[in-house]
Amino acid sequence: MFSNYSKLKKYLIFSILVGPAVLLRFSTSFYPIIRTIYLSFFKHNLMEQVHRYVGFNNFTSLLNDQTIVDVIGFTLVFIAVSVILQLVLGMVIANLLNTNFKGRKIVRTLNLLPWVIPVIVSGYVFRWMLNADYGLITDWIFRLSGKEVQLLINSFYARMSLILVNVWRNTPFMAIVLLAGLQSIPDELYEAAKIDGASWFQRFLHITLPASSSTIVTLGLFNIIWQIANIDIILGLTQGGPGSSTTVIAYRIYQLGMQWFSWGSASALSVYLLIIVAVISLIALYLYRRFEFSS
Amino acid sequence: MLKRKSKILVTLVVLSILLVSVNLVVFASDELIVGVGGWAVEPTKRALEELNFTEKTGIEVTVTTRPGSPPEFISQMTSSILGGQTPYDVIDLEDDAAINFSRSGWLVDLDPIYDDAFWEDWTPGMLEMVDTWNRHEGELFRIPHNYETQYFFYRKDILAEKGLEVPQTWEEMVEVGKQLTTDEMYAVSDGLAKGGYLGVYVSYLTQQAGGNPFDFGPALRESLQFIHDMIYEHEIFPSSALNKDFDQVNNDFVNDRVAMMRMWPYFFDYQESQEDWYNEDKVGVALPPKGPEGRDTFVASWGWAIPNTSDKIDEAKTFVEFMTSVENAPKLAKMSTWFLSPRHSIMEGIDVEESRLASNLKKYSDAGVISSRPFHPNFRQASSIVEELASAYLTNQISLDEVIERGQEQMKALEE
Amino acid sequence: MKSRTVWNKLFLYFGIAIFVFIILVPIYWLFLTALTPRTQLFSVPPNYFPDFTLANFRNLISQVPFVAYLTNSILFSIGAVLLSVILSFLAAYGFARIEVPGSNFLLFALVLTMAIPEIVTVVPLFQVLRNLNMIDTIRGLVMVMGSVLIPFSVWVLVTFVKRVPVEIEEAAIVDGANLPQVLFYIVIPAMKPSLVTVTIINFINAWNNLLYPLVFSSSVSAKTLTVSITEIFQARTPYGRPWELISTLGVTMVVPMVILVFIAQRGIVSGLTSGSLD
Repeated sequence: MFSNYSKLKKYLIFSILVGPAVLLRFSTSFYPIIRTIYLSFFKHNLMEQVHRYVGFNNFTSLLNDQTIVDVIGFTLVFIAVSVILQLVLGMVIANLLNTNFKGRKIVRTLNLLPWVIPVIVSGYVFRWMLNADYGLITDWIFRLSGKEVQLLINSFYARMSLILVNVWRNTPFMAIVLLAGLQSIPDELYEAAKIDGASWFQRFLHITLPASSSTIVTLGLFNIIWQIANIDIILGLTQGGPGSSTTVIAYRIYQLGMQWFSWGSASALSVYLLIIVAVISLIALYLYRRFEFSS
Repeated sequence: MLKRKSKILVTLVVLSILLVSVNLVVFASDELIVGVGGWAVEPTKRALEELNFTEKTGIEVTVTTRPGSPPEFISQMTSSILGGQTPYDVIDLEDDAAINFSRSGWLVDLDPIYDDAFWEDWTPGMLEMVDTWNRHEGELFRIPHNYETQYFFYRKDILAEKGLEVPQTWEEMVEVGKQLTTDEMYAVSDGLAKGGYLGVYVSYLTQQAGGNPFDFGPALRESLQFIHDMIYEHEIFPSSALNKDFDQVNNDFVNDRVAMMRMWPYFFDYQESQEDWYNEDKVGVALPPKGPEGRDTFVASWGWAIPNTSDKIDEAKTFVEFMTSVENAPKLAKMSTWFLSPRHSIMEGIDVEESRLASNLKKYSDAGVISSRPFHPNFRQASSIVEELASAYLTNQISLDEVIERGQEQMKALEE
Repeated sequence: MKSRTVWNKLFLYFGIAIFVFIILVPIYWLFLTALTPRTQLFSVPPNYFPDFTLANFRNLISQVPFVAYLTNSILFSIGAVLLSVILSFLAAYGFARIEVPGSNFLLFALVLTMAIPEIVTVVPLFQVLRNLNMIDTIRGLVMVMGSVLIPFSVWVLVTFVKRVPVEIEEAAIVDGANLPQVLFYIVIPAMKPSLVTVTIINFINAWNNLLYPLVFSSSVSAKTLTVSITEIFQARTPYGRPWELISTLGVTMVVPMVILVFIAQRGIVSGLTSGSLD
């Protein structure tokens, strides 16, 4: 429609339409990143009014700190386990929601509930349900197995609880994404495969997965990054403890930046986080390209 | 039809944009806002009423709750001050938060409010504490209104029932503890949650072991080992305490789940407020059980401070002066232990024997077990380091050696 | 064969039951505890059938500047939604209709910013807002939140703009309409469902957002309900944590969202997934 406009006019209208959104977004995303990278080379503590160039010092002292190394390790484990569980369970639920049954519409709506509750609220609710004295879940575990557990005091159980709460929270979203992917697969493909004698599992592997893979990869990627960046769940459930066993990188950045006001270290740790995110994005991009050509 | 609908829509949109951009919703207050800890709201309000503050000065005051734990409070205040504002005009500050704020330059110098006659009311010990914890580069950034030491509370009735003597040393604590612990009750507990609670207990024990926790030396090692043994080896201390703050432990104590504990003096008021449970013979106060090097307990205080981003600094100064004056101090101390300190006017003004807290304060002070609190210029982050590593050790994630090693590393990085 | 389908059906309904159960338990607990009087709250074992009471709601309103926080949440969410949807719609139209060298790359870069963790930008943004004097103001919050919502909105809306047949627009231009009129009278009505969906999704995200209001607001002028709930959690009362107030506030935050979801369920699903299916 605009093809018969002059080049100048096209650029002008394009800039007016697209400009505000792009300018606003870039100024609140790219610019802060550059500032963060810049700040990571300084020791900058707000309370003590310190601002001093220290080169790569922040980066090395972070890696020398065993606690930080553990935090980075746990972050990777946390995200890997969470995402795998979410994909698997999400796929199961998506298939469930794809079959015809009475009340399907209501169940689909209910499925959205964990996603729609503020994360901090679900963090607090689970914290209470897992409380050693008054917790609902602790009570059920006791009734079923006779064991009195203190889930949030033991570091292993605390980590497990965090992962499970995170999965509870995010699986519905994954399920919806996968469901949309499933729905775009024409039934004839399945019919043809059935006639050819393919088992349920083979149909899944060769039809369902490849066809929904582009959806899985794109939205899956953003979901992963949202989870890496999210501190609400930890703020609500464990506040990083016991010790620092349920602290993830993003939460540590929050502590360094907003509780201890050590902005140089917070920035350096942010750089590490950005590197991890970039690596994950590249992996996702690679997978996307591969699947695009193979379906 | 389209025209009318779109007109309404446009008006709505414009209105919302206007509302949002002008931030029409203003909830400013003309009152002086005083932020105190949750437990201090009632005593402060009552004090202002009974002393007729508003009549005498014409200033309306709103007493409100500030976040109870230092890191949360510091976060809140810092964001606010950086934005050129403050949620409170007067704040009640504990040592922990005060140290960090002092170096930031955000608090108003209170020295001009007071004259020499005022300082004569203070004992030498108190003046020393004022210098370390309330002055920075000559300026007085906070004025303490109480002087709290931690007491060792125990169930007189239960010990008597079992024919046990109050433990005088760490070893006796373990012995007595084993005989006291039942299915329903643990012998000993304390608030071991991170965020300003665990740090207190660890500092207390480390001092009794002869050292400063921030050194990450043998004294810290001994005290952490002691806590660990009490929980896991002797089983006289509940592991659930690792998630509890002081209020929860107090709650446990008055529900007969704990027999002995170290606690701050607001417990005196708290236990008496449990009317169904409390009677005079239940709770006794003894000197702290002696550790390897001593049986000291350290002093902490809360004090008033004024953020310099407040727009009511003069009224705030009036408030602070009123709440700490030589005339009002004894009256306030009588009303609530929250305002109790060994200032001369107060010690003369109250009947020491009548007040449980004052008589115990005197007992401790006479026995010479009150010492000053372990100090660090970046108290908040240093405490967090201690707490995080101690918590990791006490939940069996790392060994004591690792605590010492990592602690020394992190403290070094902090001080660079 | 019949028995197999009966078994299948049984498995199916069993699976559904478990699924629904797991989803609903925390929500049930949230509502239950909000209606439980404080004295019955800390019982060991938990009290499943307390005496229901509305006292907690009354306490909440009296102890917390609830109306202020609620207003802030509403203004913040509406503001962020308006800002993001309006700007994103215009941008989406530009990207979809106008072919200019570099526009694809620009769109890619824009969508890529979704990959940036918010926590990383918080400190510099704080300094920016402080310089603009927008700390602790709703408009400051709206600006940052709105910008966060832009990439996703643009991504989704571009797809839907492309689905509007160009011919209708061209016909309107032939009839003498200028660009704003085309946008307003032709394109928007044709895209109404997707615009509504994006609006709702953005509203939910803004309403639930904790980090930005937490960091960029410091007083009652700009704090939202999400910040309020963390404040209640941190408050130390003589009785320990005020869990019942936490639940009560949680309920008030959740109820509008639940209603929204029930109304807009299908739209949300298609909106969330459409961006990738092109």
